[in-house]
Amino acid sequence: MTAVTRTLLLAAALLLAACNTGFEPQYRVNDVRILAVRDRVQGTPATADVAPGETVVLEALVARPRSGTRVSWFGCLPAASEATTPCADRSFLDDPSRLARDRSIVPIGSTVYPAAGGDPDLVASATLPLTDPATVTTLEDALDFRLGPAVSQPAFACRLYTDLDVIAVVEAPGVRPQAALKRVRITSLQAIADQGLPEIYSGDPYNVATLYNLNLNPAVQSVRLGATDPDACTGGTPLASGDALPGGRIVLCGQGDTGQEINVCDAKGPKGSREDYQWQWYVSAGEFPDEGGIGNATGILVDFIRPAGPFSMWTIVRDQRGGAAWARRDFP
Amino acid sequence: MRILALLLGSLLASGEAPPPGTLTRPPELLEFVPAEYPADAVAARIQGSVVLAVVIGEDGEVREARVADPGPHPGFGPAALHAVAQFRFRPAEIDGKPAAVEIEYRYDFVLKREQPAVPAEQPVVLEGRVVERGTRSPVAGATVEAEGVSVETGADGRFALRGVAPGVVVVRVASPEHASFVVNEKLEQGKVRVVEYRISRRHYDPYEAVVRGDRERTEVTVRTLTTEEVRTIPGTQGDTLKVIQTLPGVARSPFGIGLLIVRGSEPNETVVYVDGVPIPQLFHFGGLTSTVNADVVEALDFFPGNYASRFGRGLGGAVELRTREPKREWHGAAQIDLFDGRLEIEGPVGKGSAYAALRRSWIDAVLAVALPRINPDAANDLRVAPRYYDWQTKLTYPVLGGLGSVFAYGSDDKLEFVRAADAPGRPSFYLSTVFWRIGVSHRLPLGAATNELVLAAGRNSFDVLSGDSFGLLTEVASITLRDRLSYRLSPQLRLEAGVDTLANRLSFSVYAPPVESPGSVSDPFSDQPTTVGETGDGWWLSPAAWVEADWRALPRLRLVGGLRVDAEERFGVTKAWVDPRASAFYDLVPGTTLVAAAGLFGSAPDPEETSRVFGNPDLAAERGLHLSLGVRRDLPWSSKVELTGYYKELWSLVVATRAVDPDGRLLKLSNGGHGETIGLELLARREFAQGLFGWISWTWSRSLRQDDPTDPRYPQWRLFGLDQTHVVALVLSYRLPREWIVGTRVRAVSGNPYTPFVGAILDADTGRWQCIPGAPLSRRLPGFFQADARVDKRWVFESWMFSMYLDVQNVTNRENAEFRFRNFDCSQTVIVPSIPVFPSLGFRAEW
Repeated sequence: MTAVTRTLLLAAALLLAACNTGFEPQYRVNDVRILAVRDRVQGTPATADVAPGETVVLEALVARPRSGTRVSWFGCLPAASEATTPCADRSFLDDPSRLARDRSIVPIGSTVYPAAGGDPDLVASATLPLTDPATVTTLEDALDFRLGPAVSQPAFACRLYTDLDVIAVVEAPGVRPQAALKRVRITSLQAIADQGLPEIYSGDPYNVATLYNLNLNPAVQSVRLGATDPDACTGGTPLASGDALPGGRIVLCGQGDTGQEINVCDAKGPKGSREDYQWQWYVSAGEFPDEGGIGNATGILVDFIRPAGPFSMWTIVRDQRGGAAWARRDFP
Repeated sequence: MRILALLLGSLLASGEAPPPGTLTRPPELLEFVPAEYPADAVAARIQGSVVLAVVIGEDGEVREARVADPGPHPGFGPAALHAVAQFRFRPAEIDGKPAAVEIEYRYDFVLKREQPAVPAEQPVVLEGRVVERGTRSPVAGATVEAEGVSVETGADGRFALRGVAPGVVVVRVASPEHASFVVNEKLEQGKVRVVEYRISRRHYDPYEAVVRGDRERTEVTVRTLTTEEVRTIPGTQGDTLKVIQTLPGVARSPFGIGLLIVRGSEPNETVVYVDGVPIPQLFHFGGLTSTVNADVVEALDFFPGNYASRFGRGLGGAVELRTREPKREWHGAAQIDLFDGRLEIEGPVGKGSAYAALRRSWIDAVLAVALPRINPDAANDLRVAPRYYDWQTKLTYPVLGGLGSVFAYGSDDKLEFVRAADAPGRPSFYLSTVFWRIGVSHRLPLGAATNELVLAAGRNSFDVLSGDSFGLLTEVASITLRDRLSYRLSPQLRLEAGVDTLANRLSFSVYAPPVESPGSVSDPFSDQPTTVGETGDGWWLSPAAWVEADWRALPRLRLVGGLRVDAEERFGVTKAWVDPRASAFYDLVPGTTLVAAAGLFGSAPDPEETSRVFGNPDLAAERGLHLSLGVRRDLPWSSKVELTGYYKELWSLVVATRAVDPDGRLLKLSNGGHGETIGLELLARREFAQGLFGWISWTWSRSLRQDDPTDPRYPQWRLFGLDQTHVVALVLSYRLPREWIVGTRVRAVSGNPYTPFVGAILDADTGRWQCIPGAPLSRRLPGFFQADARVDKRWVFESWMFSMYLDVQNVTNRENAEFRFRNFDCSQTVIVPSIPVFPSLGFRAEW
């Protein structure tokens, strides 16, 4: 298929995204659903980037779990190659049972949650130590492979990490299995320095003070109603579980932290910027009226119409570098 | 009694391709032999016409004649045949050389009283010109009669009537193609009255200039369309080129967006030439209309496969579009419809002539008005601003012993989706495609040889921006040199040689997410902060040369053999390939010809495929073997039928690969793909006769692909993404009295294949779900059926004409499936339908 054909289809897809398809929207969570996955370094809860030799903690947010819901974790170590790992290959994932059978895939753990109880959420977790020497060597080699191109090609000077692909599989009775792919970023400031990259990209025209900031998971500080500064989501009323929400169309926003200074990719080299948080909203009932197409409610600012009865709302924020955070509120 | 004969227009192939060049002189009747008017027809006062198909040899002798339409009396046909067999013509010329042709000849049997001879020495009392109303074209061969004295008009429509007594006389003008014209004139003694009579053509139908010729051709399958022949076909908005999509071997394009999917090949594998110069696109975006205004198109040849050695750089079909010569009289046309407006003007320039045409769409203005009324919410959030324009100009002039032309044409498309939240100047989506060409051509007869030279320069640009994560800016400056020398060594042997060279300077800039291995969980539409880029520029040379021999080995057998050598030099990497091709034609019985062909074809990778960052600079040419076998049979009633079977094998196709090089770098693309296509095409076509014109076509095909060996399903074969098992099309157009034309086009097509989803995975870094594909392209969408209808009406005034048409697509408003749109986790899909009932009203003025 040519670039022109793909472009025309892309244009058609953009048009379709604005169509009302009649589907149940993505933002409405009626049953068990995996909503987000994040990682952090064991012992330093805020840090999302993991170095070889550290242990990574994985967490999955599963909304409305059924009794007997099982969450299983699998990992695929990166190689010094651009080949896709089985964990990130969709043609491999058509049968989730293959994950457990394939020898190149590392089983991380599996847990069955006996009952939902009173908590409507399930935050499943697992730990993956990356400490044994063979694993460390594999990760270092893979990282060096990724850093190499940045020495000569400015376009790659923002890809100073490699990915450890992790799959979380959620199986609940009577429900089609669900899977989520989390790319755990593996990097090392020491390895970046060893390649001489900070020097290469420190002078004119790059003027990069810090070539790479280790990524920290963002935070959901509050969800506000009627913010006076919608762009920054300040002012108005912060919402907590149990608060009464007015009926009709209301405006909500998500307040996060300020985000980290980063370098984004550009054909001419790294370019200074700040993390751009992506907000995603889910509810057990109610409507985000502006969301057409597949019904993915996104943006720092959303219009919302509450349902007549009680409902739950999940707010997820991602920093576009693999960091994520979430918050849940229940409204009467 | 008098018999009138009419030779219709200039040569035009009816499913036949010109060999080299074009018709430089139509056949001219030198010796007319009157037919014997059947006595019983005279007694019964029966008049009428016989349509004959006449084959005229290179010596001007009638080689063959047959009755296509016998007329209203059984004696007319044999009488006309007997007479025509004794005709003698000045032979037609192709590229300045005598050539055998087949023409359609109408013999009119008209009862008329004998006219007394008029002595030449009588003084002229009435002189002037007879021209046609509406077109102002001179009417040759008309009879001007007054008081029993008559004279015929010359080629320029002029006449001089002598020997009529002064006074008020009744003047009658008669022409077989025109309505009777009667006027009273007052003639005075010793004075010459000068007049201009404007007479009405019986039918201003679009077929009046069509003559079917049978020039020897080198391709076993070629379908020729003329602008005038197909202008009123429904669903095309009068666009000749869109009619290609209803011919056998061509699959239906989704949403009618103008892709040419020929015999199971990728759309970009069908090459398009305008007067010998390749152009990057045949249709404006969305396939609404072609990039070359039909007003300046004389004809186009469509080769679905096994084309001659003069074409290359493609594995699919070829389209050769020929622009017409400008007229020597001042003429013009203006047309408006729902989509665009167009203006064309032409006239004499010194010893030559020239035209200029311009077209501009106003879809952006129409949508700006219509969308807020149709869907206010969507209009507030999304502004769609599509527009296109194109232009053509050509000057022809006799120069250096031949005919020279200076031409220039271009096209400019822009499409924007602007959301309310978009930053100024940064639309959600932006697409711009521009190309133009300027050049000269010269056709020079050299005794038994003819040389055709085309030299053109131009520029293509293709720019796409999608959000913050994808941008592609390319610009190609090109020089085309094409020369073709053909030489008739003997009546049985013709030789041809030529060069076909492109020199391009390519500059590009692209940023996009890094190319992942195929099958990776990635979202091409997400705004990823990680993009990589590449910029570059350099010369890109594509020289090619060919030789061809056309040999009539036996009276019934003709063989054509050719050899083409192509090379590509891209950024210092040179690759070359050789394509031998051959075809054979055997006249089984009169009117029936068996054809067979075999040949190799090659196509260089697209420029973006050889990108270092996003593609693979080591890619080689894609290759193909075309085989075809067919039979053509002439039928009564101006009809013919063709049946063609074909097989294509494709190898070294460029496909995505999971392979990495020794350094661990993803190769991204390889030449590891294979393809196979088999098909059968049937075309039954009635040329225009007695007001009826049309065809029915049926294509059965199966096109398969095998992906790169690193694909998990290798060596399984899958369907080609646009494979359509059955494609049936019926096109009919019928002329009614009073300048009405009605027509219909009906299409029934198998649904396109699609890949079912067997699950989904959440990309936790973006929050979007990605579908898990099942067996690739293993299911089909429901079949497609669409009926279109069209009505044309023309009003003819003294010096201009006005016409109006209503073209309604999908008159039954059937909901045809084009795509499936999925929900967020791919557990549900809905059908995305094709266009609903869609009327288009157009107006046209010609003068």
